Amino acid sequence: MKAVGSRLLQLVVLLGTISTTLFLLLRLSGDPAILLAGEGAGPETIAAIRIEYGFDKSLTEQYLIFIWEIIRLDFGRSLVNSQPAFGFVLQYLPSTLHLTFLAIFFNSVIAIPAGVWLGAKPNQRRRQILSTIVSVTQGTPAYVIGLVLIQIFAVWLGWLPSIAGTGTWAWVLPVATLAFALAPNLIRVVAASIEDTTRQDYYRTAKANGAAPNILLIKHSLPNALLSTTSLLGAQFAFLLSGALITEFIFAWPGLGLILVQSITNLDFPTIQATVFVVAYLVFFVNLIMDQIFRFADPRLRRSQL
Amino acid sequence: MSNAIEIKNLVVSFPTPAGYSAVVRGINLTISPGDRIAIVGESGSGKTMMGLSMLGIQPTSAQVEGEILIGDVNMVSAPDAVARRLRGNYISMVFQEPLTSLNPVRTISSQLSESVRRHNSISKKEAEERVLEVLTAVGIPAPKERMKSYPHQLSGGLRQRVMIALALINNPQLVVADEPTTALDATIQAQILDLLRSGMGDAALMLITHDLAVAADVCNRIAVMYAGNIVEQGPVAEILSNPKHPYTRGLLSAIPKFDQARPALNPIPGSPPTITEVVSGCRFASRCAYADAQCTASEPEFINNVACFHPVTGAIK
Ligand SMILES: Nc1ncnc2c1ncn2[C@@H]1O[C@H](COP(=O)(O)OP(=O)(O)OP(=O)(O)O)[C@@H](O)[C@H]1O
Ligand code: SF4
Ligand SMILES: [Mg+2]
Repeated sequence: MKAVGSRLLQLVVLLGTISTTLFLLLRLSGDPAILLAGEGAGPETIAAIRIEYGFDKSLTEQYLIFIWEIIRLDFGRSLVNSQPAFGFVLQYLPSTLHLTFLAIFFNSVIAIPAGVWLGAKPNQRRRQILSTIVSVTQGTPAYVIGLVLIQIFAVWLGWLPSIAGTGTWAWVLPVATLAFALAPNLIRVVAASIEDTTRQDYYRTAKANGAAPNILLIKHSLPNALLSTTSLLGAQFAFLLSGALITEFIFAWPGLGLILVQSITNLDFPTIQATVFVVAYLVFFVNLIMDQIFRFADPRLRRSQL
Repeated sequence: MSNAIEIKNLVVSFPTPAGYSAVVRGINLTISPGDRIAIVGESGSGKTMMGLSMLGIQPTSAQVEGEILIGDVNMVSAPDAVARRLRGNYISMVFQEPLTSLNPVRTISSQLSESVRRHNSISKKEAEERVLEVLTAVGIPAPKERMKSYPHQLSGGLRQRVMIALALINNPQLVVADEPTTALDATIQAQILDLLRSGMGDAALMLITHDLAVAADVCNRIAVMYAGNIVEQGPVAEILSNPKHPYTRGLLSAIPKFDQARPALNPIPGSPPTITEVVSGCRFASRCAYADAQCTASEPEFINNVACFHPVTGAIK
């Protein structure tokens, strides 16, 4: 409960900061009504917007109204299509969740066994493989991976579609892009955690009791190493949810990342704000779930029974 | 089996920029069944490395030479699969820091039964009965409940009892205890020492400690280590009343004696050679009040239980 409370406090502080910043940005960067009306709008339109959005009221009053509205999840209407921004953004959520879950799944399935393999027996050859992976991939941004994959599989080979919604297999390339972008880091951390367990006292104790290498790995290294990897997986999960901006953009994947890029391009403030809020809530829930996973997996965090 | 373990010319070395340097430098030691021997010596004298190599679990960078004979198995050269069958079964080890020496994410019971079931083909249920039995034997109150605990839920003293239970669970012939009470506070120390003194069953005990008083309290024999060598060994009474090696004498006079009106601590001045340092002759010479030309010319051999050219006689003043 205490953990939930402190996560909640984090959320409130985060959202408060974001919304205040957006509020000030919109109001201090010139006349917001003109900004919102868009280019070529007539004076009547601007005046109408000024009244509709309450820009004629005092700044304090505007702020209080603004806060009250966002508490009710009322971010106003999208400037592009006039739908209520919050509902509009929510339509894009399933698509992002879909991408996120698949990417995390493939990322884990590739990276965890690879990391375990590299960390379990840190000999010269495996160390070299590891450092090669790290040095090659660390500097490679996701968009480069994405573009390379598109070039190979969509353009040259023509095996897979590169644009979302163009076939059953449209998810493959964006998921692969994200998995490739995330995996090296996960491999590195899993390998380091596994290797670290072999230097621990409990590992030596198990050895002193005759444990064979596979038992040492499965019963002693793995549980501890995976525990210390959970927080990275959580962070990667939150990262994907907060919009794999560039990847979604490249593949025209209709998710939160794409909508955020578009709404920023269009200066669609209500949509920007709604997106940021949805993402913040998602990250909040991911963190909450991660806390629970930790509590479940690490006996030291459970309430002590004795 | 005539001996619990027989160590012949054991050398343990680590790679350094200047080649391998020995931290255990040719130790010979025999431990008979039921024997209780204390290994005493300053920090860095190689006690732990000797203990670890007796089980064949020295750090991977260490190079071990010589013979460590358990029955007809030489732990130095035996294949891991053979040595593994003896570890935790014939020979076991208790470590200094009980909290970190137990797996934090597994229950006491699962860690103990893992070891029982590895060395005996018995059912899960029988293993748990054995766990309960040994936890009771080492004096853990409410052992049934404690079995389900995780290491962090126990006090330091109970954790060390669990470690001892783990060491005893397969009725070993020899238990190596590496400073098992150093991490505990004084009253708990005394309880654990009691357990080591009278709760070990038939197992021989090799107690590593830097405390001569503890050694005298628990063991019947003492071997004194200095800079990788055993420099003196003998029955407790003999070592305490009539130490022959100047280093042993120094250690003894360093023990505070509160019943006598004298300055409490009288440590030996100087420090032992570092592992890479090349020393000609006796490695204690630079700190020894009895040193002469012979001492720096060649290294004294271990004869009549002491490695010294000029063994001292007479009771300690
Ligand atoms: N992994 C290692 N690599 C290199 N040198 C090591 C390693 N482990 C131990 N040593 C060295 O070996 C020597 C003997 O160490 P050991 O731990 O056996 O001493 P000890 O007598 O047990 O000391 P203490 O009373 O402090 O436990 C020390 O000089 C130490 O620095
Ligand atoms: S051999 Fe010489 S230097 Fe070494 S302990 Fe004996 S008297 Fe001292
Ligand atoms: Mg030690």
